[in-house]
Amino acid sequence: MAIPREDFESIVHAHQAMLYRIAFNFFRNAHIAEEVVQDVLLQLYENGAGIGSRAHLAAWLRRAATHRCIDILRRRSTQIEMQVDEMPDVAEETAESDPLLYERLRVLVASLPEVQRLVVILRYGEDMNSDEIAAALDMPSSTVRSHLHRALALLREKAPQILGEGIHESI
Amino acid sequence: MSQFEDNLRNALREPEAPADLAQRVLARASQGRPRQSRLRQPLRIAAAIGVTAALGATGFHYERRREERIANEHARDQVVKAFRLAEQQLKPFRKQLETMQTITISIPKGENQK
Repeated sequence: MAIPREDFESIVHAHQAMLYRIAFNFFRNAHIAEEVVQDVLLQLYENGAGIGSRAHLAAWLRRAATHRCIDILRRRSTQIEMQVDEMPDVAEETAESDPLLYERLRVLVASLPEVQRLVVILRYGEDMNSDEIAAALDMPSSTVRSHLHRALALLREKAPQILGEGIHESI
Repeated sequence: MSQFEDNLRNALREPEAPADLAQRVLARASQGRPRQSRLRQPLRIAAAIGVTAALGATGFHYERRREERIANEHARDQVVKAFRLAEQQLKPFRKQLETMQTITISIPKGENQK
């Protein structure tokens, strides 16, 4: 059952940024991120009238976005295999420049395996706890915590090479 | 929370959606719904006709079975009633027959020897 147009407009304005952030952090590609946002919101528009509260709606959208990201990734085989030597070269100024540091951190996150990447994006980008992430990704909370633990270990391991020695001290 | 995790949080919250993304989504939604509705309408009508026909057929079949069952029960009742009537009609004759048998049995012995 379709959502009334007025309700849909307010949902789009309220949630598009969150959906875009999840998809962009996952793919690091603005076009694919936009495609994910459009697909998820249109799916909601056509079939989402039964979704109840605001909390349910946000959870539904996050879940739909993560599943769409995985679908697109598997269908197109466009996994971002970012190598350390492909990263932007910002050798000396990383420690002082937050935008560059953040950009490199996003690249670093994008280099994680897909499930670990989603867990990190949902945990730090969307402030979700492990139970919420577990519900979004259809897996037990203990698995989420395990993915998060491994992801952080991997990020900490790669970080010194990618972020530079200056950053290494602050990790 | 470590500084690394803080940096991670800030980094992952930074990307912003394009300013006109909402407009593009709404424009696509405006185009999408009527087209899909047009495509789905005949299917919905066909499904409704199918369901109505199936319900009608089931109802008709059920009604016929019900009428047959009532007719059978009525016929059975009639047969039972006929048997009971026949039994009542035959009762006096049976009594007479029993009496006659009793008379036959009670013939004195001596007369038979004659």
